[in-house]
Amino acid sequence: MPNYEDIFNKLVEQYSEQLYWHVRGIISSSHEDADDLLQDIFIKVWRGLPNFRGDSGYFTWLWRIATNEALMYLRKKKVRAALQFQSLDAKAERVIDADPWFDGDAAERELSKAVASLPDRQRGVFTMRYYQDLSYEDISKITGTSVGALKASYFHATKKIRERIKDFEAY
Amino acid sequence: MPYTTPEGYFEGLKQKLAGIPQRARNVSPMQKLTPYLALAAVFAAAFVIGGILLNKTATPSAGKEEIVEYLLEHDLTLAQLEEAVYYLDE
Repeated sequence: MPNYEDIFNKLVEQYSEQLYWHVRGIISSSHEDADDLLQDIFIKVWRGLPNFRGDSGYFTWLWRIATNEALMYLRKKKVRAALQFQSLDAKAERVIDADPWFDGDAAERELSKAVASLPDRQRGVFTMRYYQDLSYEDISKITGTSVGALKASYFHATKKIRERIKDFEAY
Repeated sequence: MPYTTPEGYFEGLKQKLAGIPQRARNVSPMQKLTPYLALAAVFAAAFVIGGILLNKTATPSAGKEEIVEYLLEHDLTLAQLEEAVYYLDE
């Protein structure tokens, strides 16, 4: 029987940092939210480890769990925001403006806000492609979406971002 | 990505995450059972409330004689009456 704790610790050692950035990119939220979510993700990883059949590599498996959890987190957040009659986009912009861990210039802040305003799935694809430099084939394995659909999604995402930062560039 | 994290965050994070298997082992059987017990309680409550509501709202079913009387009062053909009696006897 494999030593699951050893495997788990290796996964933590190898992937936790990358996964943090992956999750943070998708949820476009604060460091604290990403930290909480990452712990939930690794709890799921630990519980799922005995059932991991190795059809996909650990990387794809982890990214799939993290992406699903991040999208689920966003869905819950949307419901909560709707119950309080708030717009999640406006809230995301405020979080970026007030984020003490933001480390970019005004243009990067605007880009982050534009990314935060994308629909969840487009943001996920954009984050994986643009920030993490994953191939469409890898993203396809993670999300279970065809490469063609991913390319279309990325195209629409970049178009929306360009539209949004066009006004900023004009200044 | 234009973000940073608190200093030493990732070292602390790895330690925290590495403690997950230990924490999972320390979960008592009662803690593991609680969600299932809660679910069972919800089903039991729904079953009891449903039963009470059904008892209160359901009208009593008509007896065989009442049905025959009703059928006789209405202009039914002999064939229809025979068919009705056949089903009532079943």
